[in-house]
Amino acid sequence: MKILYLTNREPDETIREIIHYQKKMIDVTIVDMRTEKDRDRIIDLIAASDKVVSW
Amino acid sequence: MTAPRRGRKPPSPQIARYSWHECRACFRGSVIIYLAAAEKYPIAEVQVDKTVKKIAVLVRDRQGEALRMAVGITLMDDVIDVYILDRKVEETEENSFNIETMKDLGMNVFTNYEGNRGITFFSTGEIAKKLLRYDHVLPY
Repeated sequence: MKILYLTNREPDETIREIIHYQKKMIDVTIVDMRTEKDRDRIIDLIAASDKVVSW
Repeated sequence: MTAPRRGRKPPSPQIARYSWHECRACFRGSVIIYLAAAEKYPIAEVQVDKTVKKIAVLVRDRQGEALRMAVGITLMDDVIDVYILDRKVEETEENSFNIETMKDLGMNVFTNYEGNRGITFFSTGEIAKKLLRYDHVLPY
């Protein structure tokens, strides 16, 4: 399973912990929307992921 | 609903039973109802749409809005579980009302904050595992 996390701010401790645990079990990709300017890449990642969560 | 299959008359009436047949592509299915003693003679077939989604709402800093939203999206008949993260539930009239409503609706409410009395506690690690089982995760 692939999960894509889109973040709009610095992840707090809980988010980091959740991602840390999930990375052990599944494929997790994190995109910081503040710095990622390649929209084509974001769309490709969304299409390739089973779930997308916007934090 | 379709008519029962024609055929030999079934034996005397027994307790009705049912079986579930599902299309794996669209999740639509049908319940076939038949008599326990005569499975070859269905009484009826009822079409059922089983596209219920499992949704987790993660309540973070804006508790009031998040709890209100969680109650609101139950109108879609999906399964909604609520996770209150990191904080004690603010003791406002609105929050109390929304949490009571969730319990009345049979929704599950969990927290990773041990100070939230009356709400099932899970560690953040356990919540991380549980979140993988949902169709949608809505942090708020």
